[in-house]
Amino acid sequence: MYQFSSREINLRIILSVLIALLFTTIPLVDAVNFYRPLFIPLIVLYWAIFHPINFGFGKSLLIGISLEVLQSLLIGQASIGLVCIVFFALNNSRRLQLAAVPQQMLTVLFLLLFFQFTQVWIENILDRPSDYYARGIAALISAILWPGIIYFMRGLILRKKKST
Amino acid sequence: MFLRGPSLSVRFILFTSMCIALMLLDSRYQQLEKIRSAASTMVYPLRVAANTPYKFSNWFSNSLRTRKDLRQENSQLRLSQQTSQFELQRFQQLEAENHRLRVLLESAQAQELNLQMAEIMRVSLDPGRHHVILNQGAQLGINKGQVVIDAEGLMGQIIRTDLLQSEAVLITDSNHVTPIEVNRNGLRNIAYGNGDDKLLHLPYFAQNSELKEGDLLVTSGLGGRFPVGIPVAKIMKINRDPSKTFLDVYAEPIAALDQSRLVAVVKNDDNFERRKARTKIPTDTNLDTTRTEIAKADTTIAKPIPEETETLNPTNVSH
Repeated sequence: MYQFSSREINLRIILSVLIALLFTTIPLVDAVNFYRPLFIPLIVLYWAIFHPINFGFGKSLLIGISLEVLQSLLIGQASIGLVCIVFFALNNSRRLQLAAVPQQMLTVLFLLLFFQFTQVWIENILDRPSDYYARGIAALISAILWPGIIYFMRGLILRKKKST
Repeated sequence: MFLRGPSLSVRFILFTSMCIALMLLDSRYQQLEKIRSAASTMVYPLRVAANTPYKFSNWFSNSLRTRKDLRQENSQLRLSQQTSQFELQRFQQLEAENHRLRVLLESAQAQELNLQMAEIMRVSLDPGRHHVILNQGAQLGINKGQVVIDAEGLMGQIIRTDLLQSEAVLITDSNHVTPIEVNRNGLRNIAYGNGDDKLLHLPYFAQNSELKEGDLLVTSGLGGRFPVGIPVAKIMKINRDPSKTFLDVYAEPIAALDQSRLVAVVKNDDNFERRKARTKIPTDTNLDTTRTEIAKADTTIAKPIPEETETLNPTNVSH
């Protein structure tokens, strides 16, 4: 079995995060915009579940900060949500790797709802209105996309294996 | 020998504390502006890349337009330009009159605006936060606190800038407040954003305020942030409940907050005094002459006390 060097893994992490950030930023019409899937939490969860050795809190924090800068959020707002879900994913990575895809989807849904809860909580502390309904729907859509994310990420990783 | 770092839980607590500290530093003490600015410059290519599909689709739809459509648009634009020209002539006349009156009043309030055009690159995804990212930044003199307007009226103000881009908060953001006055009678008040891009809330008009639906609200200039007289909103609804101390007034913003893509940033104008010297503003000597003329006119208008008054004095009345 081909063993990836940490540099190769890091390159893939950066590439996947850049793609996720791009999808998070692309302008959409308002009707769809509010229900945009949470690409960054999905990618972060993928790396934390399937590559727990190469992915940790430091990288989550950096990804969170780039998301905050891009979306003009409070610095630390998205990061804290990401750190929390990464903690759960790292703690249960072995169990989640072996679980069936529908079970993974349910767990991902729970984690994404928790992520959204942290965001709403902070928004409320800052006295900013938040659309709970849209946030819940976005988490649900993201969980439905989970098998697609796994497929895409495995494709991204396996490309190297095939070429060697 | 294996090296072991701190356990997962310890690292989790450490990173969570770090996030909380970052949030506090950013929200309470605004200590992370430089870091944010640097990071924002780094992610600028990503924003440009994200904006590319929109620009491409725009370009594509423009290139597919028919000759007939273009002719129709051209004629509409010509008509609109003619109308604007007529209005502009009227405004120029009014501006000149306003200028003369200000000189007479020795007012130093400058109404010339130094504008920097910019394009909206991105709108905040959160429905409650009305922030936009503009494609011009500190390189063109855009700074924090400068005012953003569109062709119709006030849009908001710059809250953050870096080298290549800047961020503006719109007047409808739930944390934004705009000092306004009613254009018709000069009643001053404050307009609050409430997260709805079609509505501003004015909760502090006294019950006896003379207001009517359709009244134009303009910036009052109080607080020194917004220039005086920029159109802000039109009063849409007035709830008069005698049991309450204040009227509950709602206004609709005039600027096309959810449609405008091209905006202008009103830059702080340090060179105004220099420009004023170059333009045909009357000098002090001219001003003195004008004052003398006014005084003369006053003397002419002010009639001398009529002699009849003396005759009406009871002491002078001869019987």
